[in-house]
Amino acid sequence: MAVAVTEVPDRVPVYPRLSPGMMGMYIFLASEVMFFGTLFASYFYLYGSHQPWPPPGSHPVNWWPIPFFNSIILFSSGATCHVAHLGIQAGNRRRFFYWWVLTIVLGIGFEIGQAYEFVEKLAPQWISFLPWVNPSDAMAFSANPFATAFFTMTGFHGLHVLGGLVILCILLWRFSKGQFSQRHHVGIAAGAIYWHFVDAVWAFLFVVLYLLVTFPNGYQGG
Amino acid sequence: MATVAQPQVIDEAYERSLWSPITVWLTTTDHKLIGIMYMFTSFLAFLVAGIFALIMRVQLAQPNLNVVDAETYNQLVSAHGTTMIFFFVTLFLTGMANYIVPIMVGARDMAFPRVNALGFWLVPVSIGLYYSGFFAGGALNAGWTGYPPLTSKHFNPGLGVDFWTLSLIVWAISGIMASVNFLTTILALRAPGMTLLRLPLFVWAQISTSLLLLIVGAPLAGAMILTEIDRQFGTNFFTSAGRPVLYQHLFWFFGHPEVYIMILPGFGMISEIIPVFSRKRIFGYESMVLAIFGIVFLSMGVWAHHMYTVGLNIYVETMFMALTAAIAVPTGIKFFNWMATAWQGAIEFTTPMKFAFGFLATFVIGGITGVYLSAVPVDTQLHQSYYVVAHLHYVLFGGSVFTIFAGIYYWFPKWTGRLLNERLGNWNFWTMLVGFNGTFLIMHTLGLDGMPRRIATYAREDWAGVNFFITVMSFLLAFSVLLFVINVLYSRKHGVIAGNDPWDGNTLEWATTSPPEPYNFERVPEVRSFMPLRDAKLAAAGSPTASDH
Repeated sequence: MAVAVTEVPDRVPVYPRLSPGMMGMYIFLASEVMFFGTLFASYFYLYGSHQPWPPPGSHPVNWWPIPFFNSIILFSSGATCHVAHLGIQAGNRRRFFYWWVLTIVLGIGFEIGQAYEFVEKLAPQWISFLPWVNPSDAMAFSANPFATAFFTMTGFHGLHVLGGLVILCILLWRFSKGQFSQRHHVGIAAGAIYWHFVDAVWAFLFVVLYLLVTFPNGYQGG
Repeated sequence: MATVAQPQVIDEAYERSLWSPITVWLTTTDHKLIGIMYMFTSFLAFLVAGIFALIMRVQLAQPNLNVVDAETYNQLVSAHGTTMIFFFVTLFLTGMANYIVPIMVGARDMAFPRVNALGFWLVPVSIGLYYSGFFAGGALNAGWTGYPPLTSKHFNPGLGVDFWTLSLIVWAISGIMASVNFLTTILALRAPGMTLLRLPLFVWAQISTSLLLLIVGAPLAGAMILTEIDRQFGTNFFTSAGRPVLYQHLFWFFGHPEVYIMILPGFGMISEIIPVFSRKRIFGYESMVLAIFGIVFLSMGVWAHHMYTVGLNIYVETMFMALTAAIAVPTGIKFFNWMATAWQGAIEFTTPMKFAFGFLATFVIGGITGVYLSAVPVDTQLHQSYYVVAHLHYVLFGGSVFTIFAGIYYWFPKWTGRLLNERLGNWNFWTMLVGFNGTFLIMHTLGLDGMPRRIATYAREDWAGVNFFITVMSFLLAFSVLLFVINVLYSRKHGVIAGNDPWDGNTLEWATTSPPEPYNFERVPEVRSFMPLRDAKLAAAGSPTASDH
């Protein structure tokens, strides 16, 4: 059963070592970058054409405490996601499973924090039984351009985290069906890249929408 | 040798004809069937939007007519623009590329066939959403651009605007899916030896188009989402408390590259057709690729030339003016390359070649008026006049649609196995060329005379003669499309059998059967230049192969 030896064609190109699945995810993320870029561009356009910013009458947001802890939670989930990815690369299914589940738990924690912040600002009367909630701190969606942009940007990021959680859960389900192995886990790699992307967007949101609004003139100390 | 594996029939149902059970079409992930569905759907959109245009022309045939009332006219203008731009030209080109690009690069399908199917099936959703407006109290009536405050809830409470924004969000998602798929297919699934600089120019054009839609699709969706949030929640992105001009920036950051999304695949087709029917190599392959990316790069920095009259800073306007005029340079390079390709070639005036030359002649007029309009003082005068209508139809119809017809006549034998009728094709071409120029050439003078566009009627008696002439000519144009439809219906059954390679082509799609099997190639050919089939034919004839490219 000898197979005819064909001549090796000259100059066979070396294709990118990336699998099509990973390549597709990277290319797709370019359009996601443009989507959040659109939101940021709109924010800075409104920022540049309205002084003072945020416009008077809006309750300014604060980076402390929930956004700060949410940042820690989300960035930690990026780290755990990476550890889980390393786990499957090393063929350690147990390590992948626990760290992946921890990533999902952290992601859910972030979403709960975000939901709390939205309720606290949009509908504080719902949680007025909490002693530290002050209904006068409400900020309506339509109050002014800052409030509009704030809720739209954090809201769309929250929806992307939700989408990321759905992806992580689907991947976990596929993992439980034995569809991934040390050599074949493009889905996990692509899902992890998506999760890192939503983490990175949060870094920009946290700086622009929280830190720069809380400290418009820079941190004055004390 | 006896054990050469026969490729398995992947999709038995594919073997059946176009009229096979609907389930084949509903469930297919074959890029060729999806491509045909794209083209069929968007051609229906073309016919509908063409009828809208005819109604508008009847309305404008004489002053003060009231064939349709002003509100209906506004809806027709908006639907004509939206349908032609989003649902016809862009999607038809996506369909052609869906069919041809994987074969041209020697792949067996797109990289993500199911994403491809999903991307297509979002198209009827998108079109259905837009046209739902007509049955829900009136579709969009603010022009295809939909500027606020014309689209704000306060001034436009109907559902038409909401259906429009949702439709375009779905459209953008579909387009992004297609773009991701095309780019991955072209980068990852090329045949052995198909280096980047051996890609056919149509494939390069599809890379640039996909890149553009990938980058600007999301800003379009963003603009639509913010419009809808403003409408539903009373928020302040584009209201007077926010900034209405912000919408125009977002929209035109999409809208201008969209022009190139609609023309670059056409450029690619012309770059395939002219060398084949001139029996020459394309002149300046590398400069063609560079020119495409020059256009891609510049097209994302010129959007504010649609906004000269909103009161931008004069220095900003000057920058946009310079960048806009600069696009003429890469486009000019392409033009001269096409002419140099045809120069002293053994030209065969087949119907695709006629359309290609028709494209060269009409598109150059659109290009020159484009440079003219890029000047701030000129545009300030001509903005919102029929001059702009004439210009945009010269680039969109004389440009994109002529290339689409050239491409259909060129690839129809590959899609169906039969040639389109040359005699009907000749009539189709000449009636279209005369009808098109008769309709739009004289609109330049109407614009210079100050006739405003998008207005339901006019009062000046001295515009009546010209407008009547335009209306008559627009029906000639419609007649040419009718001839084309007849040609397709006739030739599908009774056309001349084409064989694999009716045009003596250069690229890989002519190396396989017509129509190709589901797996495209039994054996992927070896690629040594950007004209792999020509190399193979020369080698078979004993000539030295074309020098390595």
